[in-house]
Amino acid sequence: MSTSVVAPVVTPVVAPVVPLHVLGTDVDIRVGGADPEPLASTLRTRWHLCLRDTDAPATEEPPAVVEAALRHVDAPDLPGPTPPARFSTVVTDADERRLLQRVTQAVTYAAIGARSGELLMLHAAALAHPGTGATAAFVAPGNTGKTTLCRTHGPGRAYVTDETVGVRRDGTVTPYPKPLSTRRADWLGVKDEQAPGDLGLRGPAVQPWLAGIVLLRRDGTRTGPAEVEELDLLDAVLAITPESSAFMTTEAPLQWLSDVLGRTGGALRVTYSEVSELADLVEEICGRASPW
Amino acid sequence: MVSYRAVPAHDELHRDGESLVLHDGQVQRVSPLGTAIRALTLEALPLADLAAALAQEFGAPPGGDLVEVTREVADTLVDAGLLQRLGD
Repeated sequence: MSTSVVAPVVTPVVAPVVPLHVLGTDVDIRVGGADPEPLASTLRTRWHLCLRDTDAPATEEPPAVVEAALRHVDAPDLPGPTPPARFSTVVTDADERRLLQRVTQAVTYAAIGARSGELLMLHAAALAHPGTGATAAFVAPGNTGKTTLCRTHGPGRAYVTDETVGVRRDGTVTPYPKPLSTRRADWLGVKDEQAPGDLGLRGPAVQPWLAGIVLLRRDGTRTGPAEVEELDLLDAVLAITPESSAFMTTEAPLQWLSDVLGRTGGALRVTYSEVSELADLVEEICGRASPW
Repeated sequence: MVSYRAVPAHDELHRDGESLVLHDGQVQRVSPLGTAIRALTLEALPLADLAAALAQEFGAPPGGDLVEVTREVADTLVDAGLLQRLGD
């Protein structure tokens, strides 16, 4: 009689990865937790305009990493050991909506960190002409209309971002067509992360380039058409720099921003009540010829 | 004798005599007088020399002593972190 002993097969658990290319750099979302695949699937759907073809790495450097896991009260699982990465952030939450919002914030943070010093990064929404790439950037603090602007005026145009516009030295813009973060009218203040495609938005098919910068100022009490004013150079730079990222790590950022404003006709400040009032302005800027 | 020296900035932008100065993570708008003071004090400059140079460029101040007015303006820049006071 012979006995065969079969060693148990142990299959290593591999965390699903959602590979992104954002702001011209690669970011991997490594999804952990007890049941990671549904979350990974949701992330792929919401981030569909940022998904990276993993067969053709878009950048030479290793991706920045965001580790995400839906935490269960009894089993606070985290993703397993991860290979070295330039930036690594761990995000866990028991609430999926809040987790998705925090993942968006973490991806933004990782991408900005990775491009620090390389791009002029402005806290802005941006839409581009789908054929020419002429991009209108609308600079504004959070919760002052950037996402609403994209939802309203984005269909029929290229959606570049509702969060951060990254400008290269040659005036081209690195897209960041992330899920749109929409605030719900509820007690929690958690934003819904909506897939751009669900809102009729498409990513850029041609290279976007910066055509103009507008500072948004929403005033819900005003009536009449939007008020547009041209800012002088120093006023414009002073107003825009608080809405920039990694400014101090950029070489000669004031000169750079000044050059950008000089080429694109200077900054406009628009005071408005309803985002629909901005239609003509979006149309005009997206119709411009390239100054680059 | 007190002297002043400009604090090096991360970046500066000049327009029509005024400037924006990026230093220590902050962008500050500097008047033409302040911009001139920073330009004159790239090397440490005694207060009296600074006052004389400003008088040449801007004329005598409308009220008060030239040196004292210069000291007040320079000290404002010191408080803003854009100028160093030396030799107190």
